[in-house]
Amino acid sequence: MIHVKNLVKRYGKLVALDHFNLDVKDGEIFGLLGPNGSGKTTAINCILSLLTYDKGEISLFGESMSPTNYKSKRRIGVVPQNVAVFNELTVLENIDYFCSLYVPDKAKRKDLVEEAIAFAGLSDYRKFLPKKLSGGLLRRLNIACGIAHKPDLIFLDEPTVAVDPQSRNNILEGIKALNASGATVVYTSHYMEEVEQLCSRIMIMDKGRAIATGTKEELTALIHTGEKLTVEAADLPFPVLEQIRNLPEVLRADYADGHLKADCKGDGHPVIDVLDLLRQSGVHFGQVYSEPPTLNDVFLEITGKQLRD
Amino acid sequence: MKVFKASLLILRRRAAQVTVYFSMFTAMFIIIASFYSDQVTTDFSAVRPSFTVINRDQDTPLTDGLLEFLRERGTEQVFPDEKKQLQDATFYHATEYILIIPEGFDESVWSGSPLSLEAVSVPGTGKSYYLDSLANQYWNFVNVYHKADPSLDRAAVSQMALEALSTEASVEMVRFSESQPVSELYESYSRVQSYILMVLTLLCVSSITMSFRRPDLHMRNLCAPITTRQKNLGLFLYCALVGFAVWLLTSAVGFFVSLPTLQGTDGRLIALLFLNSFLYTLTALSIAMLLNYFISNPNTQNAIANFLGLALSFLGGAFVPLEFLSEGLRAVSRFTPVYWYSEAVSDICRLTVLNKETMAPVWRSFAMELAFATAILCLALAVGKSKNKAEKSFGSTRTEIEM
Repeated sequence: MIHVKNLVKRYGKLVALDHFNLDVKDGEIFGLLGPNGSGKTTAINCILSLLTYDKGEISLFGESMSPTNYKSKRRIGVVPQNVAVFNELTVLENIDYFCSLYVPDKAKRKDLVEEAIAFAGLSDYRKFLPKKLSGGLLRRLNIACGIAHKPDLIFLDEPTVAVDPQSRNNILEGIKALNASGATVVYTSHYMEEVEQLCSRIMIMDKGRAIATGTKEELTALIHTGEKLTVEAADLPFPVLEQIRNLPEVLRADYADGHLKADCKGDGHPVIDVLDLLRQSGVHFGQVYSEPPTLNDVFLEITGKQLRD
Repeated sequence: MKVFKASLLILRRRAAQVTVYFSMFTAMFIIIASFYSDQVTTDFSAVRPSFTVINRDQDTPLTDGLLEFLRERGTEQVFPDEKKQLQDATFYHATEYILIIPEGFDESVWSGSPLSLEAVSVPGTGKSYYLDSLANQYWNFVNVYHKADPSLDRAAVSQMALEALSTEASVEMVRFSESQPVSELYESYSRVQSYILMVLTLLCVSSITMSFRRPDLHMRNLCAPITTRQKNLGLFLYCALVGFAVWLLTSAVGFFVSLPTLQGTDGRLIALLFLNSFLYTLTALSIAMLLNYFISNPNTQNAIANFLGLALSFLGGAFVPLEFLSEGLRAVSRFTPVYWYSEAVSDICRLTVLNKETMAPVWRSFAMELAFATAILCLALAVGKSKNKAEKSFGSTRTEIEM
């Protein structure tokens, strides 16, 4: 559905996209994950022909994308990062206007607008002006304006920024529903939890480059870090810590603030071994946590920095 | 049509601002109109001003002749030669002109070195000047005839002076137009209309373009399958409609409020004034289209609309006649469209006959207004093109890199 090859975009000396490649398949929710400034929005703007680029190829629906490719544009829905609605128009008027740019037929549009209002949970606010809406409702209106015409491909650029948890869940559920109804979704975010929860495939970006692409499992399999173990222990003698560090499946281990933290090797599960060792050494321990590696670990291991740096 | 319809909806929500301006201007005009008289006329009728002659000299054929001459043209009011009574007479307008002939005046005239006559008049009236000039004319003739033939006696000189003064030139009033000229009230409104047109057009146009030019909305529109031509056509239609509505509304208000003063005025003059304001509306629209690239928020919008409207109107002579401006300002004002608008208003209001010669200055002003509109529109299109280029190369579309 989307094919981007060797895309290069420069702003003066700054290389915003450095030989960027992307392939999005029909029907998937594709996540673009990366810190601010990694090039996610620039990539989307280039794909949508909002920006010119220095080099590369972009095709959508099997056709080369250009500012005048209205046939492809008609099948695309865009939900920009900022709430882009007319402050002077009501919820209903805003959705109707943006839908009218894609759907000229008035009767058909009326149904689509009603569906979008219901989908975004804005039925009670149809005559409200945007300034009367809360942040969460505004975000929902922003989404409704982008998806009312039932596009085949939807770009959602950080749609949950500055949104309360309840609205965020509503938005994420809505995106899943859109995907279930047949739309392909490209979702950008710097919230790894959202991307993990939502996306079937993920691309991690940094400094304008795609540093890894795959399913969550494929991405976590790329790194050496596996399970992360945390054990509450009132006191941990240094020799015991050394013994834990020497366990074959432990990658690294540290003790601080009454907590033992151990990173395990990719396929290792040393929980029993660690707990046995603590018991044999007479160390009293409390709660034990074990969590699988996250996308942040992937990003950390590949780039040497946190995703939210 | 989508952009056109959305523009009308947006304007409806911003109507309060435009309505405030429009109501304010209309109210001001109605108040001003209430101070004007209903009818302006150039017809006149002869009047007989009242006068008093206090003769402190002896009665002679010369003074008798003067009295006879003044009585033919005015109404004599007799008052005793007492200072207080004479003061009261002028204060209460019992007489409008008092001529005091000093003692020895007759002899002084006859000897060739006349004494000065003393005249008391009601201040600020034309009648006293008229009577003063009549008296002077009489004595001048007396002086001339006496010097021309010193052998003539006083009665003969007086008689000859009266005969000379009774000679009348026949005056025929020729009117080129059967109608009344444009009233002062309507002319004043027509001048000020340039300011109202400019402010309202700027507000209406920039209210919409300000929204459509918001980077995020602009980006969203660019994503849609709508061509730039379609979008521009929608905005153009909106501007045309708004311009026409503003012109029609302001012209109608001026016309109907001034209607009582326009009875008998040649309809063609009114039509020319309507055409003049329409041409100026085109200029105002062009200016609005140019400025919309520099207006990004309502504060700038109001400031620019008011500043530009006032500055242009002042320079163009909408508020203050150009004659009151300095030479330098007048030279500058010729480079403003309002100057040509005001010139056209003046020329049209002075028209008594409409032919090729009299209409030439009007057509010239119209052509200048059209030239301004075209030039500014071309400039607006050029600025728009350059701005669009800048946007394509990442001018105002915000991304995370800019944040």
